[in-house]
Amino acid sequence: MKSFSLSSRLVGYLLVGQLIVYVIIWILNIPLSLTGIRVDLDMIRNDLAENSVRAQVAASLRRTADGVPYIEPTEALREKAAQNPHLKYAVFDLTQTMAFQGSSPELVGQLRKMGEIKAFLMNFTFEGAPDSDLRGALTKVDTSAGRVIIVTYGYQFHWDDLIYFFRDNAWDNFIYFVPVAAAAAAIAWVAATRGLSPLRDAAAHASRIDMNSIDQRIPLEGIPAETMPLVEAVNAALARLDAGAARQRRFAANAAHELRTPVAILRTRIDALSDVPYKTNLKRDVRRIQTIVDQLLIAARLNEHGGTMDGIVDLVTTIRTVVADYAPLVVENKKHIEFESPVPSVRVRGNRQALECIAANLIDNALRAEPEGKSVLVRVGPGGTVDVVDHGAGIPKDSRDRIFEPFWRGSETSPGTGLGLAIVKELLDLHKGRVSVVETPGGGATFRVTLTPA
Amino acid sequence: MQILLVEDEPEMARLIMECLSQSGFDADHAATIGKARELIGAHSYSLALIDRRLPDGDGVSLIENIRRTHSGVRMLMLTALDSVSDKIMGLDAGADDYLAKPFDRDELLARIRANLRRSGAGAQPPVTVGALSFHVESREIFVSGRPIMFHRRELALIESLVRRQGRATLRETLVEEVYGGECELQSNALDALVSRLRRHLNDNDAGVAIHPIRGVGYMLTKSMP
Repeated sequence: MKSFSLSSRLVGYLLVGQLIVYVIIWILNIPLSLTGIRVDLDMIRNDLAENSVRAQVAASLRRTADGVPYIEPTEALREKAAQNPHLKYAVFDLTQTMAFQGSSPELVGQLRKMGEIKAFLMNFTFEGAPDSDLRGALTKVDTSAGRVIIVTYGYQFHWDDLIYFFRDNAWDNFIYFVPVAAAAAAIAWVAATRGLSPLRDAAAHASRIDMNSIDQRIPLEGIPAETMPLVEAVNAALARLDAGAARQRRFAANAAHELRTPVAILRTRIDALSDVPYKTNLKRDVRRIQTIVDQLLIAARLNEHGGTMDGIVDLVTTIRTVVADYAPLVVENKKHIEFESPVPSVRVRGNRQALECIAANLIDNALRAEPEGKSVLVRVGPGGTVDVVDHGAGIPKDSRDRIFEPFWRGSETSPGTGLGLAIVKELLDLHKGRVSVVETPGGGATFRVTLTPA
Repeated sequence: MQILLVEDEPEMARLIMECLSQSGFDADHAATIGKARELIGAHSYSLALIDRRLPDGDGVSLIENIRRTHSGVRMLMLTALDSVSDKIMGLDAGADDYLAKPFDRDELLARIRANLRRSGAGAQPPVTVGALSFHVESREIFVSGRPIMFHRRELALIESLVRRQGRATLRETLVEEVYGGECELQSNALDALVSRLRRHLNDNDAGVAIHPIRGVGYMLTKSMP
C-alpha cells in the first residue's frame, strides 16, 4: 500500500484552500465595487478598461535618435482609439513639465489648469464631458522610455479589456498571496510534524514488542487526542494477544505436564521388565518421549514472563550432569560418551534448565547418529562454547541451514520429531546465543553452541 | 522397614509397589491424604513417598501434618511438578527429598536407600546388581551368596558405585568417598584402583561391569550379555 504524508497533505490542502478563497474574494470585490456597495473603491464599468489602455500607451513609447522620447501609437493603440471615440492620452516625465511628442494637446491643456497641483496617482473627470461615465487616470509607470507618468482619458469598457484587467490585477494580488501562503504552509508543516512526533515514538515502541515482550503496551503520554483511539485500540489488541498467548502457554504447559505421568508410568513399567531383547530400545524410546515432553514444558515455562535468561550458570557442571544422565542409555546402546573441558569452570549467562535441554537435545541427536562401539564427544570451551561431536553420516552441506527449522528431518525414515533442533535454536535465540553445525574431521557432525560469557 | 506410598494414579502406584517389593522393601499404599493419615496413625513408617497432586488435596499439607505428628518419618516427594518454586515449597513444608516424575527406577531406589541411611532406620534390604549383593549396614559383599573380601579402598569404591548403580558417579564424588580428605593424591590413583576392583570382581564372576565415562566418572551396571 502506498502511504501518504499527513504533513504534505495538510500543506497541500491549505495552499489550495487559501488560493481558492483568495480568488473568490478578489473576484467578489469587482461586483461589490461596480454596484457601489464598496464605495471606497468607486469603480465603474469603464474603469475595467483603464489598465489595458495604459498598457497600450506604454507600449507605444519610443525615443528619437538623440534620445528624446515620443509616442508612436502601435497598431493596438490605434485600434483602441478607433473603439473609444473619446480616448485621449498624454505622457509626461516625472517633473510633469513637458508632455511627450504625440500626447493629446487637449488633455495636456486641461491638466495644465490644475496649476500648482502635481498629481502622482489620480482618477478624474472633466466638467462638461459628453458622457458622465468617461473618466481619466494618472499613474506612474515603468516603461521602455524609463519611469514616466501616463495619463489616459475617455476609455470605455469592452469585453476584451476584462482579460487584461484580471491579468494585471492578479499580479498585484499574487505579491501579497505568495508570502502569506508560504508562511501558512511552513507553520502547518511544523505543527503537523511536531504534532506527529509522539506517534513516531509510539511506533518505535510498538516495533520493539515481540512474543517475548508481549506484556508491554504503548505509553499514552503525549499521544494527540485525535490518534488516541488508534493507540488505545493497538494496546487493546496487544492485551488480547497477550491473553491468548498466555492461554496457549498454559495449554502447552498443562499438556506437557499431563504427559509426564503416563511417561513416568511407561518408564517405570519398562524398568520393571525382566531382561528382554527389546528392553534397551524401549528405554531409548521412552527417554526420547521424555526429552520431548521436557522440551515442551521448558519452552512453555521459559516463554512465561519472568523465565529468567540471565542467571549465571557454570557450563562445566551443567553439561557434565547431562552427559552423566545420558551415560546409562549410552552404555546400554553399546556406545560411549566422553566429556572434555580444559578448565574447571566456564560461567555463562543463561537459564540452567534451558541449557540442560539444549545439551540433552544435541546429545540425543549425536547418540542416534553415532555408530556402535564409537564415542560421542561433548566438549565445553573456555569462551562459553559447547561442542557435541559425533562420527555418524554427518549432515550434507545444503541441509545445514534447514535442520534448525521445525519438523525438518533427515529423511522420512529417520526417527525423531524434527522439533529438537528447532527448540535448541529457539532456546538459544532467547539466550542471544548461536548454534552451528560443521563436519567432524574424519566424518560426522559437530554441533557448536556459543553462549555469552558471564 | 516400612515404607508408605501416597499416590493416586493406580498404575503408577502398582508399579512403584512392585519395584519396592522386588527390592526387598515392605510397603503400604494410600491413594488419598485421608487414607495416608489413617495408615500413619496405625503403623510406624521409616519413610513416606508422597505425590503432590492428590484427589483430596495437595501432598504438601500431608507433609506438614506428618512433620508435626511423626517427626521421625523421612519424606520424599514424588511429583510431576518440578519447577524450582515447587521444589522449594515442598522442602519448606518439611520434605527431606524431592524426585520429579518421570524418574528412573534405580534412582528412586537409591534415593530411598540414601534417606533410610540418614534416618538410621536400620535393617535395609541388600542392594543387588548382577550376582553381587551389598549389605548396607554390615557393608558386606556377597557374590551368588558367597562372601567376598575387599581391601578397604576397594570396598569404599564398590559401595559408592553400587549405591548409584545404573547411573554415572562423578569422579570427584568417588575420590571424596574413597580417599576422604587425603591430599597429594596421584591423578591416576582412582583409575588404578578401579582396574584392581574390576579384576577382582571378574575373578569372582560378580556379573557386573564398571564403565568408564571419560571426563565424568564411572558407572556400575550388571554385565551385558
